[in-house]
Amino acid sequence: MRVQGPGAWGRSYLAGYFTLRYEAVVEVLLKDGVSDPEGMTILDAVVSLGYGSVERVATGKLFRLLLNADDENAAADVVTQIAEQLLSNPVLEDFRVRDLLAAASS
Amino acid sequence: MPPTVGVVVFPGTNCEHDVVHALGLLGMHAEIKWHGDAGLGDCDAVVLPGGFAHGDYLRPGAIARFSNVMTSIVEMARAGKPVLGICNGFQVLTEAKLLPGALQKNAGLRFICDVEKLEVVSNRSVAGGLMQPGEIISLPINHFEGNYTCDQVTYDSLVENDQIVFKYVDNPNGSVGSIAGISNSRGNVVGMMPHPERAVEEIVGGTDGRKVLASFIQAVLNA
Repeated sequence: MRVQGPGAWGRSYLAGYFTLRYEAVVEVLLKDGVSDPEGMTILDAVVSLGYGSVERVATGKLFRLLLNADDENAAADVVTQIAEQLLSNPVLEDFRVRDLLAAASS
Repeated sequence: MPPTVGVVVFPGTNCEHDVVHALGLLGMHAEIKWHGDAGLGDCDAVVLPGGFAHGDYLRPGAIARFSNVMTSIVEMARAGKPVLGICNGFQVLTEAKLLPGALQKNAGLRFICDVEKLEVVSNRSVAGGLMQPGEIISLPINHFEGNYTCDQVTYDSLVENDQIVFKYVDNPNGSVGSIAGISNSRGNVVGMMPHPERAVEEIVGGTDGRKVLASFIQAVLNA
């Protein structure tokens, strides 16, 4: 389910009264051009398993964050900041915030 | 009070006593400092030793960067005081952005524990003053994530500003430009993957580490 935030009117009306709960998934992958020895080793195994059609395997990390925020934008901002400052290293990795979903409200 | 080198311990650091011992052999007083304490005020320099700070969770050095002690280390780096990160300490310094680039998994995915020949590239930094460019030394390495990585622009600036301190003679881990150690542009912050503190006595495999640590001590005394 995609988030149905409270809307502009609802946001100002609801602000400070209660927050919504969101679940975000952050995907962190090595940048193109950064060598990925783990991915290459897995590719070798994939090919030796008989799947010669596979050309590339990229490894990365996935983080699931559960957080409280006033609305979807606020949640996305916080998750993006965390991904930039901590979850990824910009020298090696790119990140993508995906699947920002409303969870049960608190 | 004699000049003092602070040796920082994070949970999982395991080379702090080796560093204190090695500096002591060369006549430098060193004190172990806990990462959760903010103050390094009484120290004239700092070493971030090897190990696995915070279990290397997330990425090596990624969590250590947020420790209280890092504020003091950043201040010391800015003030021009000598800062040396060895192995995991190098990883912490890159995560803290006190040094450019990053260290990723070794090409070949092997944990490497071996003695490597290094070429001294620059003697301008706090870890090279007593050596000559072109000099070859041997130091142990002991890491899984020692593959120095940076983009071409960063690499060019490292070369141009004479910030490459050590290069591997036989690149064991895939590092860009065979880099084993670098400094910041000012030369007072150095990170290196090899362990000089493990090569200070003939009985345990050579004494070339003394040249690195004696250079560091000289920088501390001159700072």
